[in-house]
Amino acid sequence: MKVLIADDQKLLRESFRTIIERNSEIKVVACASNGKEAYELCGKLRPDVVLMDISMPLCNGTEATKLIKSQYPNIKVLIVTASDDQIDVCQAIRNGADGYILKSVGTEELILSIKSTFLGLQIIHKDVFKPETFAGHSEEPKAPRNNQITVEGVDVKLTDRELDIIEMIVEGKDNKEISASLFIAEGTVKNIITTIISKLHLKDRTQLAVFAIKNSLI
Amino acid sequence: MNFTCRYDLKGFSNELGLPLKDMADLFSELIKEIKGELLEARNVLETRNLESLKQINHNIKGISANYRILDLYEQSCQISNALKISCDNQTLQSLFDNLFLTFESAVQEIIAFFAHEGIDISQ
Repeated sequence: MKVLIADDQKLLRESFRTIIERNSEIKVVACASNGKEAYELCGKLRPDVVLMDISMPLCNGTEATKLIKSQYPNIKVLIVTASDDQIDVCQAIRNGADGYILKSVGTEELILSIKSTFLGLQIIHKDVFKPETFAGHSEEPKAPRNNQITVEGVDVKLTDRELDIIEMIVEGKDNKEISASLFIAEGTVKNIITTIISKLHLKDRTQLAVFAIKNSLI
Repeated sequence: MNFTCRYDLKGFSNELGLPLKDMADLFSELIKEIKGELLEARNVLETRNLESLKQINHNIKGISANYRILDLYEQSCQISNALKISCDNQTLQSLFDNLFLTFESAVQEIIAFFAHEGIDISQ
C-alpha cells in the first residue's frame, strides 16, 4: 500500500512517516507541505491513501480533498488533524474525505485507520463523531450560488451556465461529458470555458478548478 | 535513583522504533518549533489577532498531540475551545500564560529525561 503524507509541519511529517514505515508494511511514497503539492503528487504517484492535514497554506486540506476526489476518485483521503471543529469535520466529509482522525491518535490506531480507509471503511475518530454533523444533509436547502467575484479589483459576474460548467470541471468531467450533460455542442463548451478562464484571468481548467473551490464559486 | 518522567518518552521511542539519541534530536527540534510559535503568540496577543492566535495554537496542539506532550496538548485544547466562543482579553491572556508555563515545565521535564539517559539536548 502506498501512502502520501500532507502536513505543513515538518516535525509531524517526519513522525508520521517513521511511525508508519516502522510499524507496518505500508510505504510512504512522498510528503507534501500543502494541499496543492499533495494534489500534484497524487497525479504523479497515485498513492492508495493520502493522510491529509486540514490547516495548510496555499490550499488547505478540505480544498485539496475535493480536488483529489474529483480527479482521482480511487485515491482514499484520510484527514489527520488537530481540529475537532464540527465545521471542519462536516466540510471534509462533504468534500469526499474517507476518514477523519485526530493527531492525538496512537500508533496502532493510525495504522489501523489507514488500512481500514484503504479497504473502503469510513473511519471517524470517536472525539469528533457527533450524529448531528451527519444529520439532515439531504434536507438542507442548497445555498445560493455565488455568481459574482472580484478579480484583480474588478467585479466579474458569471452566468448560471458558466457556473454549471465550472462545477462539472471541478467534478473532473471533460468537455465531452459536460456537453452531454448540458445537451450542448462540445465546441460551445470549449468556447464557454475559454470565456470563463479569460474573465477570471486564469491560465487553464486546473487553475479554474482550484480558483472555484478557493473562492466558493460552487 | 529512579527517574520518572511524566511523559511516556520511552514508550513513544519504542513506537517510533528510534533510538533515544534520534528521539533527542526530534525533541530538540520540537522545543525550538514550539518556542518559536509561543514567541509569535506573545506578539500577537498584544494585537489580539484571533485568527493568528488560532493558527499558532493549532500548530502547538498538533505537535504536542503527536509527540505525546499531553499537558501541553490539553492546555492548547482549552485555548482552542475558548477561541471558538471568542473569550475576553483577560481570559485569553490567562490561558496563554498557562500555556507558556506548561511549555517551560515540559521543556525542563524533557531535558531532565534525556539527561538521565546521558543525552544532552540542545534548545
